Amino acid sequence: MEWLVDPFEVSFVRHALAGGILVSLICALAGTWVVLRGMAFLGDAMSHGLLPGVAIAALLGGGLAVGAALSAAAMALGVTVLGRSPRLSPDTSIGLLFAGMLALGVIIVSHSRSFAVDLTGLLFGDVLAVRPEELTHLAVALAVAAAVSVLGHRSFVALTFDPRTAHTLGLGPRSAHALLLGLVTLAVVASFHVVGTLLVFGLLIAPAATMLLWARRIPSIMLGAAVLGVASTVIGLILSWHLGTAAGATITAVAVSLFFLGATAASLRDRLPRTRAVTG
Amino acid sequence: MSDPVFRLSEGKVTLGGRPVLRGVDLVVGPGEVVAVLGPNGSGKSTLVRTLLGLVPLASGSVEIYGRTPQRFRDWRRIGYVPQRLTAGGGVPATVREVVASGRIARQRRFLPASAADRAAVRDALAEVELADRAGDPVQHLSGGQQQRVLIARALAGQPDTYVMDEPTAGVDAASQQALAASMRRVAGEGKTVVLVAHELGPLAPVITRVVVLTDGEIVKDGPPSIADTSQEHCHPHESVWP
Repeated sequence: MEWLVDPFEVSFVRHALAGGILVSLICALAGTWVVLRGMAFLGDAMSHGLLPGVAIAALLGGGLAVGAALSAAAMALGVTVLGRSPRLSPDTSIGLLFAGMLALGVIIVSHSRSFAVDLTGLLFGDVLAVRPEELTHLAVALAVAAAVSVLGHRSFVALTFDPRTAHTLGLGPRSAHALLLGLVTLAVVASFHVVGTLLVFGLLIAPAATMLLWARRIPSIMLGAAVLGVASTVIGLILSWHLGTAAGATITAVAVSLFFLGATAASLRDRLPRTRAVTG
Repeated sequence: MSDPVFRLSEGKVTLGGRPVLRGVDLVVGPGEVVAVLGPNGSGKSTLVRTLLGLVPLASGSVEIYGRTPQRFRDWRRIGYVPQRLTAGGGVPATVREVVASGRIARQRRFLPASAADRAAVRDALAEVELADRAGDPVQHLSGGQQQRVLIARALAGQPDTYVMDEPTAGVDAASQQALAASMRRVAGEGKTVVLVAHELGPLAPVITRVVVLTDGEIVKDGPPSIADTSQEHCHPHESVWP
C-alpha cells in the first residue's frame, strides 16, 4: 500500500497528479470526437505544430500557452486553406504542415542556444513541474471544454454521423468543424505541458479509442475515456516514481498499453459468442 | 405569387465524366406529391440530390424556395431522407440522437433542446414505431429500421417539404406500411413531397404527379395514371448505359 501512496506525499507529485487528471478529462472530451470523426492525424499534427509557438514564447519569456494557442491557430488555418485544393488530399497538406512546423520549432530552439528553452521538456513534457497556478488554468480549460462539448453535442453528432448531408439539416458544417477544431486545440494546448507536444496525442486518443471498442454510446465513451485517462495518470506517476522513468512518457505509455489490453480483450469478447454458436 | 419549392432549369450533371442528367427542367410547386420513377441508373437519385445542392451542376441552375442551394438558409423547411444511413466509421449515435438532429435547423445553435424539440422527437419516433429503440445505437437496427430512423429525423423537423430518396428500397413490409401511413399523413397536411421510387406501390393514392426519367432525361411528366404505361418501359434491369 505504501508503494502506491508514497509518491503522492511529495507536493510536486500531487500537483502533477491534479494536472494530469484535469488534462485527462479535457482529452476525454476532445479525444472522443477526434476518434469518432477520424481526425487523429490532424490531432497529431496540431500537437506537434505547437512547437514553434511554444519555443518563441519561451525565448521571449511570454506565456507558453499563448504561444501554443497561436501556433495551433496558424496550423488550423494552414490546414483549412490547403484543404481547399482539390488536387491535394487532406493528409498530404496536414503531413507537410506537421513536418514544417516541427522543423521550424526545432530550428528556433537550436538557434537560441539558451538554457531557458529546454527542447526535451517541450517535446516530452514536464508534468512534475506543474505549478499550482497552472492548475487553475487547466480547471478553466476543462470548464470551457465541457461547455463546448455539451452545447456543441448536437452539431458534432450530426457532423460526424453524416458530413455530406449535414447542411440539409440546417447545420453549418464548416462552423461545426471549426468549433470541433477549437476543442481539439484547447485540449492539446492544455495538455502539452504535462505530456509534451510529441506525446499529447497518445493521451488524446488512446483512452477514447479504447472505449470505442467497449462503449455503445458517445457519453459512455467520454466517461470511460475520462476514467482510463485518470487511471493512466495515476499508474504512470506511480511507475515513474519507483522506476525512475520520465513521468509524461510513462503516463502516455500506460494509456497506450491500456488500449492494447482493451483491444485484445475486445477481440476475445467478439470471438466468444461465435465459438458458442459453433459448439451450441 | 410565391416561389416554387424547387426550380431546376436546364440542369446538367456529369459524374465521373459521364452525363447523368442531360438538361432537366423541373418545377415543383407547394403541396405537390411528386414521385420520380425510372430504371436503375436513369438519374433519379442524382435529380433529387441536385435539387438539394448535394450534387454540383455542370450547367443550368437550381433554386430552393427561390434561392440557390448555396444561399438558401431556411433548411427548417426541408426534410431530406437519404437513400440509406451513411454512418461513417461506426459512430455510435443512438436512434434518439439521430432523430433529434432533425431539429437542428429549428433550434438556437447552442441552447439546450426545448420541450417542443423533445415532443417532436418523441412523436416522430412513435410515428415510425421505434419509441422502444430510442436509446439503442442505430447500427444495431435492421436496414428497414434504419430507414425508419431517417424518416423520423425528417418528421421531427416538421418541414414544409420532404425529399425522400427511395425510402422503401430493401425495406421490410412493416416498414413500408409505416412509411405509407406517414406519407398519407404529411400529404394530407398539404406538405410538399418529392419521392424517388421504383414503383408507386402502397403510396399510389397520395401521389399527385409522376415524373419518369430515362437516361438522364424526363420522358414523362403528368398525373399518376402515366405511371402504369411507363412501368413497361422502366424495367429495373434494363441498362441505360452504353
